[in-house]
Amino acid sequence: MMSLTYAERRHVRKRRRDPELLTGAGLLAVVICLCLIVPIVWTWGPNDITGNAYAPPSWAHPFGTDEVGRDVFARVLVGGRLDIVITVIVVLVSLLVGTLVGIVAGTARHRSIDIVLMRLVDAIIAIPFIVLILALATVFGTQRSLGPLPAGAPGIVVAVTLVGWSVYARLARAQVQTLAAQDYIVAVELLGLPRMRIIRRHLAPDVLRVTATYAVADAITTVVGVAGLSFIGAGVQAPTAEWGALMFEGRGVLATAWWITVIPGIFVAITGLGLVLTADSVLSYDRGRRAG
Amino acid sequence: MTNDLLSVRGLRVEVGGRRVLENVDLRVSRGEVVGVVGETGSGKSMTCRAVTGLLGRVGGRAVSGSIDFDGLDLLRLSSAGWRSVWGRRIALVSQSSLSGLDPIMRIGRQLRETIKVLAPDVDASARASELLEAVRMPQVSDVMHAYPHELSGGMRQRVVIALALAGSPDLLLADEPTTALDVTVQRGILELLAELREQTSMGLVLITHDLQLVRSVADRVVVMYAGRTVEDTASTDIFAAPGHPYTQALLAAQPSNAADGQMLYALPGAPPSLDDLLPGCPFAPRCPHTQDACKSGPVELRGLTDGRRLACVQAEEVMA
Repeated sequence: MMSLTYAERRHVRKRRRDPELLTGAGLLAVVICLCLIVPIVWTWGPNDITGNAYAPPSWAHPFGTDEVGRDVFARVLVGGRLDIVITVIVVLVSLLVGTLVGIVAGTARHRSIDIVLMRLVDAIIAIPFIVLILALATVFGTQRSLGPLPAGAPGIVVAVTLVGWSVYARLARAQVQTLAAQDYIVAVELLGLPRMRIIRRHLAPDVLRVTATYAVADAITTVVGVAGLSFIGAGVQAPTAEWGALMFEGRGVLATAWWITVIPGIFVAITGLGLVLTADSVLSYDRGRRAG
Repeated sequence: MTNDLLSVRGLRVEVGGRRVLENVDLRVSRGEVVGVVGETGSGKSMTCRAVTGLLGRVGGRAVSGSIDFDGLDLLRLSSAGWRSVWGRRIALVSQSSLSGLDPIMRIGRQLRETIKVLAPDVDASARASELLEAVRMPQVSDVMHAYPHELSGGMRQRVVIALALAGSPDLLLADEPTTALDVTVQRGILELLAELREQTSMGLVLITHDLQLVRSVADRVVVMYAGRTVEDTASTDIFAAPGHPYTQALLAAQPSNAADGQMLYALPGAPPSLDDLLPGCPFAPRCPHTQDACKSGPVELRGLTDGRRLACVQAEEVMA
């Protein structure tokens, strides 16, 4: 690591004080730590039957139990794990594929490559994404499991990613076009720097900066979307615990056993809020840096 | 005129069928600072693009005239030929210092990258510090590790100038290098450019819309109007006695030339649109000295006895 200059140190300090980022990242950290660590030491597993159905929240079962007596606390946390894993996979793959496609389209020597790729992106964006994701998830099969991913999960991952990368591709290509007009890009072109080196050193990192910023915002849609898909039955299947699936299971007894539905909903909301605050802060930071 | 480093003669440029430059004439010798002055749309930047071979990027095409650079015919130079000119023999400092630097790369790395291309044999790090010192950059080692957004506008422009100097060019074009900067910083940048010219004996073309700015640094001033060169005069002479009626009007409009309590002088009318240029002098509709001869045919730039060159039918009468 190079040593920090005075200006950089100032920048880092300013970041730490940002209350928006602090709250957002804090909420996310709490949810992630709860989901990843606590189930390891918790008394009950997500599918253990405790023999006590519809028990309200208590010290033994902080979030109560469900219709067959499973511990909702364990189910919500283990379900959260799955949501986190699915979101991370979907967002990372969409980010990388979309950015790569956008850069290829924006820098391709042959216009035809650009046209074909971007019309594909247009086609994907033109179809209402809920309908498209539902169709893809159904085609891929809601019963299929893959490695550690339970039945239904691979289907959503594939469906959401197939749709999600398109926005990244469009963003990336737009950024390539903006950058190509900048004096410093023109200058390195004229200097005769190899094309691939210009793309690797000057274009790609800057494009990734834009798409990665968007990825934080995209994670919000993905978390909510994955839970939503499972809620309507197109995603993760029972008996696997997942936030959307849990809410679906409890919907019939909402009046008497509210905890089965409301608590996973609160977790979705807290995760979403954490991501919104983080995304907002990252975006404004990025803008400030750009404007200098 | 054989010792000219750069000689642009009778250049006519069209963009999409519209004539944007007509009869542009610009000569620069080694070690000379030439100020090119004109208002927005007068063709200063387009001339700059023509000299740097970048007309094609804006869809422009040189229709007639010639650009000679140290024996090279720049209008007929191949792209391989340009490769050996760009950065090595002709360098350009553009208007916005922000778009001249990669925002996500540290200054030192950007300098080293350019140096490695232009001079693969030298120690890039040493040369980078040397260049930053040459542009009077304070705290060189800190700046090397800084990103562009951490520097002030003036410091960024100094980095851009350092980049332009990396290939030790014979000719440096500075297209409004101080427009985006503070007034106090402007002065510093101009002094730096003039100083560098003295040390390196490169030719320097300083493009600006601010006549006062070139006063102290330019050896000669070229005035452009409606895409043409209308006057080319030593800078001491032009401020003492402006030749072309347009130059006279420009100087009269300077706030410093107005007496206390007087309204500032403003030249009536507006520059002609590129679409309806008259056959004669483009300044004729606004000129107080207009006669029939001004409107009838093209007005060529011609040399006067005192070394000035003017594009004015009645130069002798106007100046008397």
